Amino acid sequence: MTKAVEIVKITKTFPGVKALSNVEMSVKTGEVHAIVGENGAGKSTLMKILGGVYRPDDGQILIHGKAVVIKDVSDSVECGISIIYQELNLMPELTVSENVFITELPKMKATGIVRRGELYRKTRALMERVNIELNPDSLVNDLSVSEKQMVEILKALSHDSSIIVMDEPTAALSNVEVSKLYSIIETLKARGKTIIYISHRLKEIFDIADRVTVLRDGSFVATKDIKSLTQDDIVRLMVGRSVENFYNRDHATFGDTVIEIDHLSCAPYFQNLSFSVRSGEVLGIAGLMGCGREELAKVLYGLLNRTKGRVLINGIPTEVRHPREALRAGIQFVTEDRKDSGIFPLMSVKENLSINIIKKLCNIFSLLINTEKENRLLESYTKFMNLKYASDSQRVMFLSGGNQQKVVLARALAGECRVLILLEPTRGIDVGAKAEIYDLLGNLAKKGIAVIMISSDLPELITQSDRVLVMFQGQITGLLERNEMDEERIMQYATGTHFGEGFTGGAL
Amino acid sequence: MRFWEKYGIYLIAITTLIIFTILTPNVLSLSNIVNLLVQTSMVAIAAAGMTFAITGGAFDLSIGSILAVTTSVLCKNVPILGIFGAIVLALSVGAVLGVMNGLIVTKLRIQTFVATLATQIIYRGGVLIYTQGRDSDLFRYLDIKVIAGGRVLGLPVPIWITFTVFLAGYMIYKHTQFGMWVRAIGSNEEAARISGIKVDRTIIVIFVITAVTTVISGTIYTSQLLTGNGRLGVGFELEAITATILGGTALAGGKGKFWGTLTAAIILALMKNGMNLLGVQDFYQRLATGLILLLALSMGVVSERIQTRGNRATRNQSGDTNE
Ligand SMILES: Nc1ncnc2c1ncn2[C@@H]1O[C@H](COP(=O)(O)OP(=O)(O)OP(=O)(O)O)[C@@H](O)[C@H]1O
Ligand SMILES: [Mg+2]
Repeated sequence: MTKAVEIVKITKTFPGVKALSNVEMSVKTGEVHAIVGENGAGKSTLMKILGGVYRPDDGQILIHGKAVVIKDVSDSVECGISIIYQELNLMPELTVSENVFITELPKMKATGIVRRGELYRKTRALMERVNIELNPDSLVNDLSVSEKQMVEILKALSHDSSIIVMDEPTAALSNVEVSKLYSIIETLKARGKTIIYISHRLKEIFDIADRVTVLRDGSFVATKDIKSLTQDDIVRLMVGRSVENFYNRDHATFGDTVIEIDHLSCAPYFQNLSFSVRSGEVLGIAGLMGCGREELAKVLYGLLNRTKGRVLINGIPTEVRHPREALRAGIQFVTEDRKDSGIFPLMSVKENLSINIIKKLCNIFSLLINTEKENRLLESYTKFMNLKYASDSQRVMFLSGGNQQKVVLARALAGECRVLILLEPTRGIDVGAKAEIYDLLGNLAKKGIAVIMISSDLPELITQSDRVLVMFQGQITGLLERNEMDEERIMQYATGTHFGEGFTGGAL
Repeated sequence: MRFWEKYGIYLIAITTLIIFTILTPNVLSLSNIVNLLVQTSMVAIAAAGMTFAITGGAFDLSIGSILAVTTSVLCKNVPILGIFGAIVLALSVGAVLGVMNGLIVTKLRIQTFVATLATQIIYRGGVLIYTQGRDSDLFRYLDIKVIAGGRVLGLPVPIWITFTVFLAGYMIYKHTQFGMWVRAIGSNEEAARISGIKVDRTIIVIFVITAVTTVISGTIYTSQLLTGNGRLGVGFELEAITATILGGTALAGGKGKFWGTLTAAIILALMKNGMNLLGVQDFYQRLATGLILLLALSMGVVSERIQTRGNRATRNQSGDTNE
């Protein structure tokens, strides 16, 4: 078998960080090659070098045996490389089809006018080939995060490249969409394409990869056949130690009801939802894309306004029309859309942490920020969450994806909170950090916080929740107790093939 | 609330027209309307270029100086090169100045607002040196008057030029790859770059467009007044930007409104013209124009404002507890 990609002694330094040092690896033609590593290991940096976004300080790249210099994106496309980046890179004011074919628009020869009909057909054809359902004429701005991810996938496939890199493509996808992606990968593989696949979900690696390369702290650790490894082996290679009790959590005893949702509706997203969460309880919410669970979180946090029903906090009906009111009521929210709405990219790690509680960090006159307190806060969370950054004034946009997510979580935790709403809390977070965050969740629950966790990661939901609520088309189709949870059952409820306890009825 | 965003500007135009018609019936006379449209054309054509720029997330503050360059180049060169030759020269000079703007923005990586603020001053200095601060005129070359004063099929030439510029601009914006790239860059420059769009080249072309449309405006201007000097066109860029924004083009980039820009330019001219007919003093005219602009913006932008509030709320999901 020939080599599609060979990476020879690649080194890349950012101010204060050695992102990659002397990395050497190769990818065979026609294989699915997974790359794993902790947050900040350098996976995305390596891919950005392949994509022409960064230039390496040193080293060489060979594509199909030929040494190449990739100076910019078009060089990379010319080498037959397409990349789905970890962060979405779409143009929100353009339509789906315009985004997908922006550099290869079909034009009339004489006038240069874009042939809209042809563009529409091309997009449709591509979608049909990979079985993705989207309206080519929708504005990307109006799509959900998972739909946007689908557009990214289409964009990468539009060039018909021979090497396709996917940097955490499933982070924003639900199970059904993940299996759709699997079949896309199968098809690509059958057509002889080479795929480089980055994910923190080890299960996926075992599902689809042929070989796996492990990176740690910017260095190459090993490349192995997936068949020769167990999940524990990979974890050990990644973190250099074994992570114990990965998916276990002590379940606390519950107190009084903290938040009660009473016949809550928000047309057209969801109707007539009723449930409650007790102090010390973790309520998981499962459901497919578009089932209304994200909108539910937004209503609870005041980002969307309800159309009917009530929300009671500690038994008192509470109006939450704005995030400010939510924060006042002790509701904290961690968004799934890190890049667009989670971080303040230009502000430092420290500022991102303290921005919500800045008032408490100020000295007596509430004017000047007490730097000492701020530093202490940063220190404690750095230790608590194992944050990695070059200096405390480093801008958050330069942190690795997983570390950014930790910052977002840390910020929510830094504020006082009675109800914590988490949307995909461990998206893009490596196993080590995941275990830490689960620990953290357990501790928070023990402290009496009511946690609502919306996640597409079923193992996570099942192991971390005390109850799981399943939604389908804006309604509750099931409410599962600990002993009733299994993946199959949740999927049945989530696809509307079965209804369980808690079904809110109505026409579907 | 999409309605306001889409049609608000036309309602404002009609309302303004009705108000002035009631106050001074003369506004609606055919000769006045034609006159008004000719007056509009100079700002409108440059504003078409500015619509491209703002859609692409760029500002061009140097066009006022480019207008002065145009009048001076024409007045000094018509006697030497003839009308046609002088116009070609002016267009070339404009294109070069546009390329320079573009290169400064893309190669030196300076934000457009600041970069063109600097070139505005540089170009102004350049034209003052070129003219030695003196006026020049074309009083002995009246043939050039045909551009502003001539008629084709009963309509003055500037109206035809304006219409052609906007039609072409709209087609390019809406239906060509270049237009889509401009929208893509205004929408998310980083994503555009990563998608393989030739961002730098597109930005350079945008500045050539703003410069060349300004040269066209300047040519009409010169043919009307027959004079040129280095002090002309101060504040011209603001008039073009005002028309563009009033017309509904989003300052954040990505969304342009060509016909909105044209309509807004007409509204601005109409107000000036109407108040002139009413005998309103210039001082009060300015006051009124500013207030009406504010009013129109606050109404026209309502829908966008609600949206950005939603977005902003999502964006800083932290809320602002440090109120
Ligand atoms: N543009 C940049 N400027 C400065 N430092 C950077 C930049 N991009 C990445 N880094 C740093 O380089 C290191 C590697 O980051 P990279 O994004 O490649 O990690 P990763 O393996 O993709 O992690 P994750 O799983 O969290 O996405 C990190 O320490 C990160 O902070
Ligand atoms: Mg990464």
